[in-house]
Amino acid sequence: MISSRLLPHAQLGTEEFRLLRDLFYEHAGLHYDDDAMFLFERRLVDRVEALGLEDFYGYYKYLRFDPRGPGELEEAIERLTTKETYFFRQEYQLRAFRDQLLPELAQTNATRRRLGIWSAGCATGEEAYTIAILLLESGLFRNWDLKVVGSDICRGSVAAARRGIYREAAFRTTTHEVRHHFFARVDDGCEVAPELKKICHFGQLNLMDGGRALMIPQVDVIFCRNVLIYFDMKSRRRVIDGFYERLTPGGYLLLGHSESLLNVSTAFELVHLREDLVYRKPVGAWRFNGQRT
Amino acid sequence: MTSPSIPGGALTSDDPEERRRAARALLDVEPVLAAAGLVTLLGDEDWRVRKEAVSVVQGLAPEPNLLAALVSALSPSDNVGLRNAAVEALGAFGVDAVDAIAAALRGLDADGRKLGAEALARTGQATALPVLGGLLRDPDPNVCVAAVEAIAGLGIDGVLEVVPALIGCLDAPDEFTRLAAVDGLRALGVTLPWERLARLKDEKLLEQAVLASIGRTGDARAALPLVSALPSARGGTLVETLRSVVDLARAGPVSARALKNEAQALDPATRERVIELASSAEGRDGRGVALLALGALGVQGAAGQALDALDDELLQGAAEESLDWLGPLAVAPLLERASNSAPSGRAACIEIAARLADETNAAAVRTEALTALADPAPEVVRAALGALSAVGDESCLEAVARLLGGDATPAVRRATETSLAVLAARFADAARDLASRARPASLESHAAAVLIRVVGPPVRGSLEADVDFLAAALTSASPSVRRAALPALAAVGGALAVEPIALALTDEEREVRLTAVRSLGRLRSAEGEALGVAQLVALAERAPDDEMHIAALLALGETSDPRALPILRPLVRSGDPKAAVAAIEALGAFPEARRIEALIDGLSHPASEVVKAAVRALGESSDGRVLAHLAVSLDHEAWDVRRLAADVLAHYGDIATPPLRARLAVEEDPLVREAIGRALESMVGAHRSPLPTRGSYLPR
Repeated sequence: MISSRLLPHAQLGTEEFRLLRDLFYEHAGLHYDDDAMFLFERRLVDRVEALGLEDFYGYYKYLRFDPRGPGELEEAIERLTTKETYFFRQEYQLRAFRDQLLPELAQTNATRRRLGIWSAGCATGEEAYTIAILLLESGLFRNWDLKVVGSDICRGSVAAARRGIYREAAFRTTTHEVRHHFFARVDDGCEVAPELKKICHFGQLNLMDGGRALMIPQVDVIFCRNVLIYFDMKSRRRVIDGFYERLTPGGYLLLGHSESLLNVSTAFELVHLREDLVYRKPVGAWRFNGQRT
Repeated sequence: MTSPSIPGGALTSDDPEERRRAARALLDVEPVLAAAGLVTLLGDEDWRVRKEAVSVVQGLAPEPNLLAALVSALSPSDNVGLRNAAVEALGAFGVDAVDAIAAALRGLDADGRKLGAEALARTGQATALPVLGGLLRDPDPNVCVAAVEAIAGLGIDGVLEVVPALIGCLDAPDEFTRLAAVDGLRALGVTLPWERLARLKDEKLLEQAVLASIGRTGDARAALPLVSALPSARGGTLVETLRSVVDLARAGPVSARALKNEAQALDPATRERVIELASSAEGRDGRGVALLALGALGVQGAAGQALDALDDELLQGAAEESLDWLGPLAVAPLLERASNSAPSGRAACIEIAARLADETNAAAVRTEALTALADPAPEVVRAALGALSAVGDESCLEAVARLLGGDATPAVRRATETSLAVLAARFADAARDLASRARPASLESHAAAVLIRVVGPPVRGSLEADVDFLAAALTSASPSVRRAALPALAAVGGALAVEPIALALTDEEREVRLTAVRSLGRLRSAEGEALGVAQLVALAERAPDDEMHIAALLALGETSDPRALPILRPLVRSGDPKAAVAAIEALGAFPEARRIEALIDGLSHPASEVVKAAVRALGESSDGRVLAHLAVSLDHEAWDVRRLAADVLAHYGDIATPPLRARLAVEEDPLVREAIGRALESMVGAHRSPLPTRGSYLPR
């Protein structure tokens, strides 16, 4: 039998690509340049065929006008943004967080004994659980109210994060000790320990959706690594404004190694750590509307 | 220009087919010519010609000369065919014929007046009722009988006004008039007091009609004559008498008990005959009535017939009602049947057995229901859960809780939560113990969340520990567990629950998000202050989708918090009808003074669904201004708004009568007219309900 993948399939034309690209931008602020055309075709052609549509223009109309369009839009975005990740990624930054930021936060928050961290664009949860491991391993926050909130635009990624079961590839930079202490082998991989699950909360969030972002509690640190690359300048500003709102004064924003707030926002202070540069919301900062926070 | 005419001689042609074609041609001729021709053809010797002529009437305009010609055909004549066809033709003219008949009645003989009554009945018009009411006093008994039958046949709004005259006919000197009155009043669903009927029951001619009516009196004294009549009743009389038995049983526990007492003396042959009728494959109506009567009479051994009928969609209702009347007597046969039935039958048997069980057989039902929890059919499991809610003891808590750990269907899951909550409320200590043993964030936390919500904190040592446990449940991979934790947090968590519930608004599962919204609406501090308002306001202002937006509006309504008003009030005028309806429903929960102006605004919304929501919400109000605004809604262009307004105004009593009457005078839509009629009837304390045949016209 001939594999269906060998049969002729729908081709994505330039016009359809632009229509789809604009739709994803409008919905989620995701920005793709012309090079992404091949990515679109490769990741979405299965959906065109699964829905019995003739071509990508039909798929565009389905997304835009069919009552089931919003659900399919989520599916499409999920396919386009799914990225591979693993525990303890960008270790130099995590060391800076562990060695310099956590001790400082333990001191500044000592009275209220509460610490909140947001992993924005957490994909399948590896980053959020990594942060939780660092918090517990530090020994600085015993009996504190700890909360790591992971959010992602992809529903499937959030569900996977909640499930907390990972395959071997996710542990490529994880030490044996950490793996032994915080994971248990199960049938289909390694499962995150309950003590980590207890402090990690996940939600589906479009960072461009300011209303829903308000449901994230005030946090002391935001990790948003390798997410801003998907947004254009205007959308980035909007997302960063949202982060500013959710950070407590003196709270930190940690971006990916190739990302910065250059031309995006001047509301944050740049802080030089030993191994990294991070942004901080000034203590006693003024809100954009002129009120002191 | 000349009007077309009928070809010469066609009306009197020897060929019936030519005359039939001439009748059809009347539709195209001058009205004056049509009238004369029509009367000729209505009296034609050939029935096909007469039938064609009657059908032509529906296409003609109700010209006065045509109506006059038709009415004159009711005058004495040997042509019976013409008179009958004239009745049919006049009836087809509806409201236009009523005045013409009324004006002509005085000049007609008794037969003509009788036919006039029949024609009036055929018009189906409320305006015919006063005319028929007058005929009830006719010196000729045949006319009276026809008038009574006509009124009963009309059965339309306004008929109550002639009911006193109909009741007067029960004292008419002519026994046929009395008979027609008894039958007519029964057909109209009018309930008469026992005393009124009792004095008629000894008249031989009226005996059956009275027996068929006395069940509806609801008087326990009716039990003896009804049961006594059964041995000699046959065929249709037996069915009517049994129907009356059922009416009496439905009237209340006293009359139902009286029936069972009298039925103890019923001979075996009669019981057998009723059982046979209940088992017969023919005549569903008779079978259904017999099934009900077996239960009403408490006939031992009748459960089998009722159980057989449970499989028949059309008899299922009667079978269940019959089993209800049989009560604990039916439990053992039900359980026996449950063990060897298909899933739907098994489910029904378990459900009914639980309802009928008393202390002597509750344990047997419990055992059967616990076994059924493992049944592969979801409907059986749901029935078993319902049964355990009724007859379960504390030993059942764990078995029910275990179901929430599996992969149950949503319907089974909901039924399990309900059953668990009912049992927890009844056995709080056992529920607390079970909830305290659940492992955090495991599937056990689903049941534990339900139990904590019902029994309240502290379950796991302290309020904080309970909230921690429920917040941990929100990290579960199972959406069901997360969804169950939210209402529990809202019920017990107070301020500690705000953050976890708010975070759940970002849950990837729609059902969990919506539950989080509702939970925020219900979240209160110990002092009763609404704690989720800020989050709900934010959500209402910037919800990501319609569903969340509307859920947020409704939840804001649940808070009854003044901060919600500036959000809700302007939305009443929203161009999005869904949002406007949600805002109105939310405002409905606010104290009177704060909401009334906004709700009145809703009455002028262009979308009728919004107006209906406003009418419904205003219907709950006692504000004096509301009546005038609701009265205006009686003139709304949408018929369903007018009908709803009439239904709502019915609750206002006499002060709503003038606008309702004013609207009735001009209303053309039959459904709205019916609603207005119903409203007006309710105001005079009268009630008429032709189906089902129970009513209460006179105070008992």
